[in-house]
Amino acid sequence: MAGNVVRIGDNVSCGDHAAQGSGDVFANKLGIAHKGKKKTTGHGKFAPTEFLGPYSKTVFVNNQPVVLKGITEIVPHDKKKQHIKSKASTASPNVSIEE
Amino acid sequence: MADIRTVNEVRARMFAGGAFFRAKNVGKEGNNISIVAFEYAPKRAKLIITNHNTKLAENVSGPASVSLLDQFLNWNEGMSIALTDPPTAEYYSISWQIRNGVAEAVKASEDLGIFDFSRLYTKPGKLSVKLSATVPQNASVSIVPRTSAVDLVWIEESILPDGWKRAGGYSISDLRAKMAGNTWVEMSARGYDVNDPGDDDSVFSLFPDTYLSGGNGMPLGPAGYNVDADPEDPQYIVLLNESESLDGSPFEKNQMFKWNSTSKTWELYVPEPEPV
Repeated sequence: MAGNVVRIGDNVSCGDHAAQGSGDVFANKLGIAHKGKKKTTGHGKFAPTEFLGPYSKTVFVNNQPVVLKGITEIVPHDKKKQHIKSKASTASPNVSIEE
Repeated sequence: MADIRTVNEVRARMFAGGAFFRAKNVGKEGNNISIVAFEYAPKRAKLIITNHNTKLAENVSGPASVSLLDQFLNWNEGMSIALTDPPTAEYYSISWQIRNGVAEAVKASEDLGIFDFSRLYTKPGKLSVKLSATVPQNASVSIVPRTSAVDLVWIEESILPDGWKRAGGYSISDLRAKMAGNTWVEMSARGYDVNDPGDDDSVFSLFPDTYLSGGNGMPLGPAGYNVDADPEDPQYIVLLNESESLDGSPFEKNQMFKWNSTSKTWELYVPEPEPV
């Protein structure tokens, strides 16, 4: 699979946003989101959630696989499975991974 | 460095005097608006709104250039600087008294002596100001609070259709009509705002200077909103999640803002990939 790395502040297709990123590994000056920093902000009435996966199989930041645009999904916002299958939809324009 | 924080836009509100008031606009600035309703003569009363948010054009008048003003003046206070040689200043407060059955305003002044334009002047708890002006000239500079006043109308005691007696008091409906054009505070129809399930009292009750509260919105500055980013180029980002409709019901705004350190403002941030 291939995808661009997601950063703090990047969007999710349902309207959510990556709320966290690495504190010392950056893309375009912003922290890279990974499995250890996977929370989202929530949006509107939809509570914050977190990235579910799949993550990169080969690229790790702070020993954690990174979140990829168009690939990594979020956990649904609630038990009603709101916005299931929503994926990271924006990312670094020039840091991509080929796996 | 930290996670992205979220804010919501909410109006400041107040239930007082048997009526309901709310800030015209959402935001924390609404919490800096206060209202007082006082009687200065029998059956004669005023309602005064004070907007404590500083706005130089309204807080300062006279031929002076202001480089810094931080003020916490009440509605009945002020400072005046006479542009004489040497310039002199006074701080004053105004209160009402009734003498021989007649209401009159009484001005209490505090002589502040010679005003030094080369230094920051501070009156603890009231204001800090740094001005420049040409002296001598036949003029003065005034620093006053931003206020808006409304006269209250007395309703005489009356017998209601059901036989009950309504005590005399000040009219809320008349006050609401006069407040229609106010740019800081409004009195929406009772029950219109989703946070206001009540009705007006039969007459308006007077109350001391009271602040609206509960307002929230975009932060005034970037402090505390830096996110996980290159420490040599800090990034300040905030998510504005919900705002308020006219009737007070929340709606999703879901906009990200990034601090522009040059313009010192929050700018809309859309993290779309840019062309390489």
